[in-house]
Amino acid sequence: MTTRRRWGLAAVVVAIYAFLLAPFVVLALSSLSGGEAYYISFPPRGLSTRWYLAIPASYLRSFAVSVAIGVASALAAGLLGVAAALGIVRGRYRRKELLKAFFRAPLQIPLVVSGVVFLQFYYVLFGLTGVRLLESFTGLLLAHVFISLPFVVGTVCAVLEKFDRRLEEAAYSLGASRWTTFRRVTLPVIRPGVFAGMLYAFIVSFGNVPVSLFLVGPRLTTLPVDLFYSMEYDFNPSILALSTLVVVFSVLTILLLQRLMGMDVLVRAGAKE
Amino acid sequence: MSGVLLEEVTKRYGEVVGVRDLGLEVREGEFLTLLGPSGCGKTTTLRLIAGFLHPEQGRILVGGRDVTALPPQQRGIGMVFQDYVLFPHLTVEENIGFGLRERGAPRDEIRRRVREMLELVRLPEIGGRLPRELSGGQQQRVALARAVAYAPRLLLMDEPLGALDLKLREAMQIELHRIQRALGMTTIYVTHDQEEAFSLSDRIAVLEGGRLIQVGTPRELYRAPRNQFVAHFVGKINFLRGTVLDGVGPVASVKLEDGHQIRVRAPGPLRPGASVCVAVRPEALRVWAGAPEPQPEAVPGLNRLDGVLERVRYAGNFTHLFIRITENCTLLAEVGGERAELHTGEPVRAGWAPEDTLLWQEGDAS
Repeated sequence: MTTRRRWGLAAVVVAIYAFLLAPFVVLALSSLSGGEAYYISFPPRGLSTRWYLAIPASYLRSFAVSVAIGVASALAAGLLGVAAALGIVRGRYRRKELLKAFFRAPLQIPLVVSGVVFLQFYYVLFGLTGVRLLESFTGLLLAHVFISLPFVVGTVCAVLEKFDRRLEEAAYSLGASRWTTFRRVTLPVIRPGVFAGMLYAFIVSFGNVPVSLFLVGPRLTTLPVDLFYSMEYDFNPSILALSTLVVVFSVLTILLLQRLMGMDVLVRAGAKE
Repeated sequence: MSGVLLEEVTKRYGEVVGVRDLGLEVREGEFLTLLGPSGCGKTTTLRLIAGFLHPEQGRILVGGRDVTALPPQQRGIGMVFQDYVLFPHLTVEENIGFGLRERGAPRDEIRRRVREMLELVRLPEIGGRLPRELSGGQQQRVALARAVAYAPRLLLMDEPLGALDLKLREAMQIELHRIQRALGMTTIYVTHDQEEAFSLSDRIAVLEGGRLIQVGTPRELYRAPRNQFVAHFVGKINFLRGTVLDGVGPVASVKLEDGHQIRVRAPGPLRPGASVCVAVRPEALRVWAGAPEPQPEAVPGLNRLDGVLERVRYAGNFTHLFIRITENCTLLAEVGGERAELHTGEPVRAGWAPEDTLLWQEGDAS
C-alpha cells in the first residue's frame, strides 16, 4: 500500500471514530462545566465536578430498577432465546424462515407501538382478571423480554448453525445423556453467542425509553424514563453528569463481561506454559 | 463376547437407499474395515452400529445382544471421527476422561486411566492443553484415547486418518495398528483408501451402492475378487473382454475381442460362446523387448500379447509400463527396478501365466 493511501485510510478511520465518539465527548465535557448556567454549555466554561455532587439521590432508585430489569430480561431472554434458537435450527419442518421471521418481528414493530400495545393489553388484562401489571416489575419485565428476545435468538441461531453436531454424537457415544450433553458440550460451545445475545438484551432493556414510558409510574420507574422526564420538565446539568456516569457504567460492564467470558480461555492459555 | 452381527439391515434416506439387506459378522477382537467409494454406504453402516441412525429393517447385535433399539449411550462404543471432533472447551485430560466421568468413575481412577491413555498414544506431556493447541496428528491420537479410555466393547472409526497428510497418515496407521492390538478391542474401521485398509485390517468388507459385495482377508480380496468392482477397487488391474472357446477342464480358452487367444484358469465349467471378462494384475505381467529371447512360446502355456511401449513411469523400486495392444486396449505392467532395455515407442511383448488370470462371466450378478 502506498503511503498516500495509508494516510487516506487513516483519515477515514479517524473520521469514523470521531463520528461515533463526538456525542459522548460533548456530553462528558458539558457535564464538567463550571458555570452556573442551567443549560448545556459546550465547550464547557471551566472544569468542575459540582454537577456530579448535585445529582439527586432519587435517581439511585430508578437506576437500581433499570439494572434489575436489564439483568432479569437478559436472563429471561437468554433462557427463552436459547430454547427458541434450538427449535428453529434443529427442528425438522419446512418454513423455518417463517419461524425465524416471527421471532424477529419485535424488531420490526416501532417501539412506541409496542409500548402502546402492552399498555392496552395490561389494561384489558386488569379489567378481565384484576391482575395488575401496569407500573409493576413483572409488567415491565415482560415488555422488555419481548423487545430483547430477537437479539438472543439471532446470535444463538448464528452459533448453532455453525455448531458441529458430531460433538454431541461423540458425547452420546461416551455415555452422556442428552441433557448432560447439552450442559457439558453444546452450551459451553455456543456460550459466546448466548452471552453476546444476553449482553444485547441487557443493553436494549437498560436504555429503553419508548416502551417503558407507557408502563412506568411514580411508584416504579426506570432510569432512562426518569432522565427523559427531567430533561423535559426540570433540566439541570446534573442530568448530564448522571448520563456520563451511566455511559461509563455501561462501558465498564461490557468490558468486565468480555473479560469474564474470555476468562477460562485466558486461564488455560496461561496454564500451558 | 463382543463381536458384531448385522442381520439384513436396511436404511433409507427418504428415497435414497443408504444400505440394503446388509448382513455382516465382525468377530471378537477383529479389525474389520468397511471399504468402498463415497456413497457406498460404509459410513451409514458405521453410524447404524453406533446407534446414531436406526435401521428400517433388520437387527444389529453386539456381543450377542440385540441393540437395534438402543440409543448410542447404551451400546458401549468408542467412536473416532474423521476430523477429531474433540470438545474444544475441555482440556486433553478432560476430553479423555469424559466417558469415564459420565460413567461415574471415581476421580483417582479417572486420573490414572487418563494418564495410561496418554502413555498409550505417546502424548504424556500434553494433558493440560486445549485441542486447538495441538497438531492434527496429536488431536487424532487424543480422539482415539478418548474413545477407548472407558474400555468400550467396540471401537468405531470413520476415516480417522482422512484429514492428515500422507506421511503422517502412514505413521498413524502403524500407531493405530499397535494400539488396536494392544487393547484387543473389536474394531470397525471405515475408509475409501484401499492401501490403508490392507495395512490395518484382519478382514475387509467391500461395499458398493449400499450393498455388501465381498468380505475377506486382504489376500482373499486381492487374489480372488468376487467381481470386477472389487478387482478394480482393490489394487490395479487390467481388464480384457472376450468369448469362451473351450470351457471344459481347469484351463479354459478365451478369444479376446482383438482376436488373440489366451488360456485362463477357469473357476468352473464355462459354456462356449459365453461373454467373459478376464483380468490380470500388473505385477503378474512379464515384459520382453522387441524380439524376446527366449521366446515366450518356449515357456509352456504362457499367454502373450504384442504391443508398443507407450509410456514408462519410473517409481524407484518398480516401474510401470503402459503397453498399447490395440486402439482401445492398453495393458499396465509393473516390473521390478529399472528396465533400461525398454524404450518408449518400440515393440514389446507381454506375457503371463494362465493361473494369474481372473475370469468372470459377463452379466454375472454375484
